[in-house]
Amino acid sequence: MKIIKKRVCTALTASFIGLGVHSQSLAQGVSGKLFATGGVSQVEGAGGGGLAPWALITGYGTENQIGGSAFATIVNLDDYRLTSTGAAIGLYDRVELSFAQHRFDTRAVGAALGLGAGYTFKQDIFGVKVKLVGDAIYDQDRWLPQIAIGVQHKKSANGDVLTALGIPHDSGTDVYLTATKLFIDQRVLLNAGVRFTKANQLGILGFGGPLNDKVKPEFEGSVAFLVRRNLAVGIEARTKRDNLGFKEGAAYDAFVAWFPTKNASLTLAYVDLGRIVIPGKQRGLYASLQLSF
Amino acid sequence: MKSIFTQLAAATLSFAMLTLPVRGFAQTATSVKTAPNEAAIAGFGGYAGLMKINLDLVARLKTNALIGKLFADTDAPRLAGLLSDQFCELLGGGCKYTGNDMRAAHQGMGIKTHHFNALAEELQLAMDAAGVSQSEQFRLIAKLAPMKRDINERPE
Ligand code: HEM
Repeated sequence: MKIIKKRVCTALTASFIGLGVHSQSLAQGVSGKLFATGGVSQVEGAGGGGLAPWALITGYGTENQIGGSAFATIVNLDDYRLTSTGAAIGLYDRVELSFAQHRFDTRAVGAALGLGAGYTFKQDIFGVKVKLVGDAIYDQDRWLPQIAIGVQHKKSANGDVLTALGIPHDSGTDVYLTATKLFIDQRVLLNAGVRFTKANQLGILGFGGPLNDKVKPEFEGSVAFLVRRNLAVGIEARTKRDNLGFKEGAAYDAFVAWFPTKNASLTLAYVDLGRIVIPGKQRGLYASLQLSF
Repeated sequence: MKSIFTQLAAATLSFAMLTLPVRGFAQTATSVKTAPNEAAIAGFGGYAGLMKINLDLVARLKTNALIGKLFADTDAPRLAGLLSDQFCELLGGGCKYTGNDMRAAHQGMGIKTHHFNALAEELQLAMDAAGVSQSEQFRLIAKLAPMKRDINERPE
């Protein structure tokens, strides 16, 4: 219609205000992504599911906007409690910078291990993610997923205790490659990634150990179903290394993520983080609140 | 449409005046018809339902803070008719969209992803208001999403 107008009008009268005006008058705007398409905040601070980072860039910034998110997550396990808090910014839907802090409360186990009841391991996680190719949302007519590469540099605050436990490194850098695709018609999101890491329990127990001190690939993936635009349910899995001989196993979760408004989400999950030092699997409730723009 | 008329009338170019409105009316005429395959668009209330949704959509677009300006002069029934033909065709309803191709229709407007999404969100609200189920909404959105490639302004 505009084109017709333009042609007709240019032909008819030179004084007609053409289309050029619109590009100047269209506003820049904020939070330009579609509802919930920034994902939630993954436990290490990246945009993603709960356990696995996704190739999506956090927040609602589109190619000419900046977005961001902040989150607080509590994982109440049988014998421990993990809290993770952090924030991230998404630059032009291309680069994501994130920071998260983990506090891992050993509760009664701390006393049993001689660290003292409630001894808390802490680590800081600095992340960068860059979107490489594809578009998880718009490329509905192509198979290529959105692919991103990311780095998470982790620094433990408990170097002395880690050394005493025979753990060689108190910092480490995970590198991951992740692919995400939303099949809108089927209402299914698939995500798969590989992480090159030597972290013990996400890095909470340092990096490397007597059984292995090399970086090895680990799998992480998510499957989600969109019940509504603002409600997704899904499952995730993430394999972990057993560098310390504690039979550290894979982690799983089943989640519900709800966006009561475009800028807030609440994720509840049942998680199984596998064995953490003491016998028996650590299971419990995961709750995460995220605000984003 | 009004502005076309004004322009045309002012210029009194009888040839253009005859061809353009006829094309416009033809479009509006198809819009009251039913689709060859109404079953494929039953979830949207058939062709009449699509038309109702798109009239609502255009009304919402006109008041949208981000992109409303672009639709200020838009002939609502005409655009709603074109969109209904297009959606009907995409959804397998067997209609034939006869308007401009998406690239030609949108180039020069400076559309970026957030503008595209502003329209998509108004469409979702219009579909919500018409009681279209989530699965049918996702079916249509899945067809529209890749059109962003043609609709967004290309950096030149
Ligand atoms: C999937 C998304 C979209 C679809 C399917 C679509 C479809 C259409 C169609 C069928 C036409 C009529 C073309 C003709 O006159 O021959 C049209 C015109 C137009 N479109 Fe879009 N469009 C989309 C997105 C957008 C966006 C994001 C904007 C701006 C933010 C936009 C702005 C316009 C304008 C201003 C016109 C001219 C309306 C008039 O005054 O007649 N469109 N569009």
